[in-house]
Amino acid sequence: VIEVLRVLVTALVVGSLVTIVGYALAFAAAAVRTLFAARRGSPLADELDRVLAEILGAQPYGSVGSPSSSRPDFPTL
Amino acid sequence: MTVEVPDRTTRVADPIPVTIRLRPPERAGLAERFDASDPPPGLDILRNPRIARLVRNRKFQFLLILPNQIVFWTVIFVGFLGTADPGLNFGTAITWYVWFCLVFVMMVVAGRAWCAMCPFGGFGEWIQRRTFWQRTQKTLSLGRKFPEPLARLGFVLPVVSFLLLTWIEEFFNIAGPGNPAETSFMVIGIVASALIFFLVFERRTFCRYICPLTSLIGTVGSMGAVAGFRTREREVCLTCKTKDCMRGGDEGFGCPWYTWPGSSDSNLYCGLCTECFKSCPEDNVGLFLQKPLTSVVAPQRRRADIAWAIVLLWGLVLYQQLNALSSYATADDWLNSHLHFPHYPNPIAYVGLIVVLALVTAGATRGIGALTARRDIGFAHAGTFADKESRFRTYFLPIAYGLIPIVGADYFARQLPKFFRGSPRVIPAVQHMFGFHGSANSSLYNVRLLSDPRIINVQVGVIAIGTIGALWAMWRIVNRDLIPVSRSAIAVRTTSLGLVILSGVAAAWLYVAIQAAG
Repeated sequence: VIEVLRVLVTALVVGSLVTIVGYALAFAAAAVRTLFAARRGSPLADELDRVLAEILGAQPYGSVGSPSSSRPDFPTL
Repeated sequence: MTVEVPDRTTRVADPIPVTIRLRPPERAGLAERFDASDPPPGLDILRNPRIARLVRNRKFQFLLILPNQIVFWTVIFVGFLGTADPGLNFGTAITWYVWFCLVFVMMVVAGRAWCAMCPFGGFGEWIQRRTFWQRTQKTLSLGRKFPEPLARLGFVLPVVSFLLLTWIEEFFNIAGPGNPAETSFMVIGIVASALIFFLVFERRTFCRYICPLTSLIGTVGSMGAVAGFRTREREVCLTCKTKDCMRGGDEGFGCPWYTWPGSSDSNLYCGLCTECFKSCPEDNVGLFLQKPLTSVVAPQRRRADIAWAIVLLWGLVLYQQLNALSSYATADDWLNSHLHFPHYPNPIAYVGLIVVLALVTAGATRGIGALTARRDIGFAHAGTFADKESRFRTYFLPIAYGLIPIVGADYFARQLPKFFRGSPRVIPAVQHMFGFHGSANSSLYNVRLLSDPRIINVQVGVIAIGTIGALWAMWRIVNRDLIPVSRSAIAVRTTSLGLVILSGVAAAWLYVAIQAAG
């Protein structure tokens, strides 16, 4: 029983360590992806977002006039 | 502007809108305060819908904490039940050869990433909330508020707890590493204190006001490239009528760190717990990246408690370098024999030297102020602890912030010998836990990643990088904050940058001297 427990605990610990390394790699990948996406992002599109927001004025968030392009439901022009 | 104060009946019937309407949003000075510190919208990691969906899941933080929880409870049990050889015991090997070094890497890269997965706070929070991940309303905690006079001390309390923990660690030679059971006792002590605080006080009071690591992670972590959870559009936060990110909503708890994303200008108090992102009904909170050192350079409002924390932490790391010199050992022995204290570290010498080193650093900033401040500006006399108007604080706060990279580099450099000498031992330690009793003879047990002279080279290199980072940060800070109040731009630049170079040279020289003494 002790041997089985020992194997179980060790497997859990090794699994945990591998998971933590996996988290670090996943975060690094997400960060790099974000940086590349930001570099690729069109400044013109951001500028259009800003102009649209100015035209429509401050409206409740989530309405058609929402100035944020970060919402997935943001209507495309 | 007149504000309608509703009568008592309305207040009781519908307290939340009443409370919010009592104070109209203040928009004056928003651009001046936040323009430099707000990250660009494109650097929001959660703009990616798949990542956003993952982070929004209530199990997200539980899954971050779980592996560390398993590792640290194993550290506790193996410390008590495993081999007494600290190099072969998994508890000591993983904690002192690897973990402490990697925590510094995490701080420098990602700010409070460790806090998001911390097993100590995580364990207390699970018990406080009576759940691993669900959104619950009733807690097991007494829910007391931390006394305001203590809360006003900010980072000073955690610095005191860090000094205390470091003294205990030095006294028992826990991190040497020494007897593995002592590492277990130390970890249990941290978990128990965290649990008591979680059961007495609301939210993460322990993490914000007491945790020994919080001052170090908060200050050194401000070098990091993760800005934390911030508002996507401040106007939405200003006009928000529910403030679910602070009070809690259907999907998430109110910020456990008492941080409002709408006014956040650094990553100082963002524990990356994701609750504000989950609870915001407007989807107006993002997780932003930023250029390294932004949270050191950009904040407009600098805090006295953080400045004092930085110089005290600087004093501590210099003390830890000085105590490795044979001359310090002689002085400590002499003091112990006269005060009848059993052995190193003598508490009077410990506290005294750290405070003196901190005061010398603060005194240097006072000297810079006296030398360069404009005579036509009427600086206020020093008042309360939080006051920033006196000449001393006008110079001390920004210059202390500018020293953060060098303090962080010095702490990191100090962990390197254990990492380079001992980290390969983690593999035989795991094997030993697995039952391979021949693991003491494993070639990895005696492998060193670097020889001692090369370790010194790396340490000096790390200090050099920290000094360059501090020079850059100080240059930016002086240009923005100090030149307008100084008589001579050249004088204030030269003296402030000179302080950085002096600090870097002192730290690097001490590593070389330690090597020579060894």
